[in-house]
Formats: sequence, structure tokens, C-alpha cells
Amino acid sequence: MGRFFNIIKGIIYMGVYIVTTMVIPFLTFTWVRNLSISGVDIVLTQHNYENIIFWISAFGLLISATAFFNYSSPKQSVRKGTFAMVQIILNCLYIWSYKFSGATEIRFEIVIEIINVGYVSINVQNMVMLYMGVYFLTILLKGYDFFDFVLNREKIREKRYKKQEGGNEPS
Amino acid sequence: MIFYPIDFIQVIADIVAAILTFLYPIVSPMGTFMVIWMEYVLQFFPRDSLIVYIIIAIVIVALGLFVNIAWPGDKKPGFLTKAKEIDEKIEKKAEELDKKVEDKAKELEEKVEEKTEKTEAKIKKKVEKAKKKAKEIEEKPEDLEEEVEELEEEVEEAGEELEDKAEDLEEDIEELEEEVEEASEELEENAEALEKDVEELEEKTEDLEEEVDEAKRIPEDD
Repeated sequence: MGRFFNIIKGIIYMGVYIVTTMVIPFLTFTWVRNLSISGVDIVLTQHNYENIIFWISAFGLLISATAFFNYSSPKQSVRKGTFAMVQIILNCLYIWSYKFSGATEIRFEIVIEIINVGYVSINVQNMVMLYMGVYFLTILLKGYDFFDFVLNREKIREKRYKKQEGGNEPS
Repeated sequence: MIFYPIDFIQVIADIVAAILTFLYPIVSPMGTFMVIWMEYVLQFFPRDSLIVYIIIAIVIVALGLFVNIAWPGDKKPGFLTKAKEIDEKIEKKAEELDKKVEDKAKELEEKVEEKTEKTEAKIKKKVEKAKKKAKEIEEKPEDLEEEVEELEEEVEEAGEELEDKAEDLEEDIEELEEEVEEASEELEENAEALEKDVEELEEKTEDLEEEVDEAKRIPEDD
């Protein structure tokens, strides 16, 4: 019962991460590529569109796979701690890939009937940097969790086995 | 119609900018550190094909499936139970060995006690013997002292006797010397007398020879 529950949980979370890290960004960038608001075309002049999609797909795959491993692992296990940390690091790289692929400096050109009226530029580099700082703290937390799981693994295991024997809390 | 969303975006941008400005001194160094290591790590990521990432993702998922089906975490893994069994066996063996060791130690202690008692008894006997011998030895010097005293007395007596004898001998020697002197004097006197006699005899022989010569001359004259 426990193992199937874990696997299902892993699959669900993998699906969630596939959607959030791959499908939504892919659809967003594809939709933004040719956006028309109230008859005015806003063209995404992102030359590295393919580059963005490549990195989103690459890191999205890795994040989804590690999410599967992470969420299908038992609670407070060392493997869960390890893969949670790996997942966070990959998340950082994923976020950073937006930056170095050019996705953080998006320039929309406003075109009315072939005539280029002007452009709107969104620069979210600072936001990405802020994200990086937050992720740094998250990595620290995950590292703490990992060491906690490693150092107290005997106690955690005993607790888990007792719970299983008692049938109070399935993992 | 277009300007409303732009204004809205501007408001959001202002809020975000305010947050960023506030957090910038704290978060920026962290972000810089993250950027450094990420740029280093990203050098090793392939940039050409997705196949590598797909393969890695499949491997991770397969590994996760295998590991989490084999060891779901609700039971103790086989190797741990085996390890526990081995530990229990080792503990049992250790306890048995401890018991054996304790028994043997007790036996040895008893043996040692017996031996010590025996050796103590032997030692006591030997000590008693030694004491006796010591007493005998202590008594012996007294006998020896007595013997020595006796010997000393004997020696003294013998010395006295010897002294007496020596004195007697000295006296005898003196007497003998006197006698010798007397005898020598007598001998000298006798010698002198003999010399005189010899001289007289020589004179007599000369006289006799002269008489003999005269006697011889007389026939020839005849």
C-alpha cells in the first residue's frame, strides 16, 4: 500500500512540475510570440525563442524527474533530502536559464497596420536576482534538512516503522 | 484601453522595485554567489541536444521507481533486518562468551585460591622451618662463642706453658751457654795445657833427637 501511494504521489508531483516548468512557460512564450491586444499586434522580438524553449525543456525534464524521485521517497528519508536539494539546485539553474537565454529582457514591439508605433520592454533581471537570493536561503534550508535526516536517520526510521506497525499514519 | 493595463503593470513594477530596493543589500550578495557557481556549473551542461537531458530524466525516474518500490520505507529493508539479526546473534554469542569467560574466571579464581592456600601453607611451613633454623643458627654462635672462649683459654694456657717452656729453655740455654763457656774455657785451658805439653814434648823430642845424635856419634868415634 505504501509503495504504490508513494509512486502515485511521485507521479502527481512530476505532472505538476512538468506543467509548471515546461508546459506553462512553453505556452506562454509561444503565445507571447504573436500577441494581439485590441487589434494591435504586440510582437515578441525575442530572437532566442528556441534557446529559451531548449533550456526550459532541459531543466524542466530534470526538475520533473527529480520531483518524482523526491516525492515518491519516504518522509524524512536521506534520499528524499538528497533529491530535494538536487531539485532546488536545478530550480536555481532553471530560473537562471531564463536570464542567460535572454528571457528576462523581453521587448514587445507595438505594431499598428504594419507601422511600428513603439515598444514595451520588460526587464525582470533584478527579480531573477531576488529569486536567486531566496533560492539560496532555500538551499540552506534543504541542506539543513539533509543533514538532519542523515544524522537522525536511526530515530526517524524507528519512528516511521513504529507508525507503520501501529497503523496510525501511512507514509 | 491599452493604457489601463500599462498603468497596472507600472504599479506592480513600482511595488516590485520597492521590494527589490529594500532587499537588494541582503539578497544581492547571495544572488552574486549563486550566479558565480551557476555560471561555472552550466559550462558542463550540453547545449546542443535534449537527448542527454531526456536520458538523465528517464534514468532518474526509473531509479526512483526501482528504489521506492524496493524500499518503500514502511518496513525495515532486508539488509537492515539481516544486520539486526546478525547483531542479535553477535550479542548472544558475546553474552555466551561472556558467561563462559566468567565461569572460567571463577574456576580459575577458585584454583588460584586453592593454590594460594596451598602455597601459603607451604610458605608457612617453610617459614617455621626457617625460623627454627634461624633459632638454631642463633644458638650455634653461642656454642661457638663458648668453644671460642674455651679455645682462647686453652690458647692462653698453652701460651703460658709455652712461655714457661721458653723461659725454661732460655734458662737451659743460658746454663748451656755457661756450660759451653766453661767447657770452652776448659778446652782453652786444656788446649793451652796441651800446647804446653806439646811444646814440652817437642822440647823432649828435640832433646831426645840430640841424645840420639850424640848416641850415634859416639859409636863412630869408637
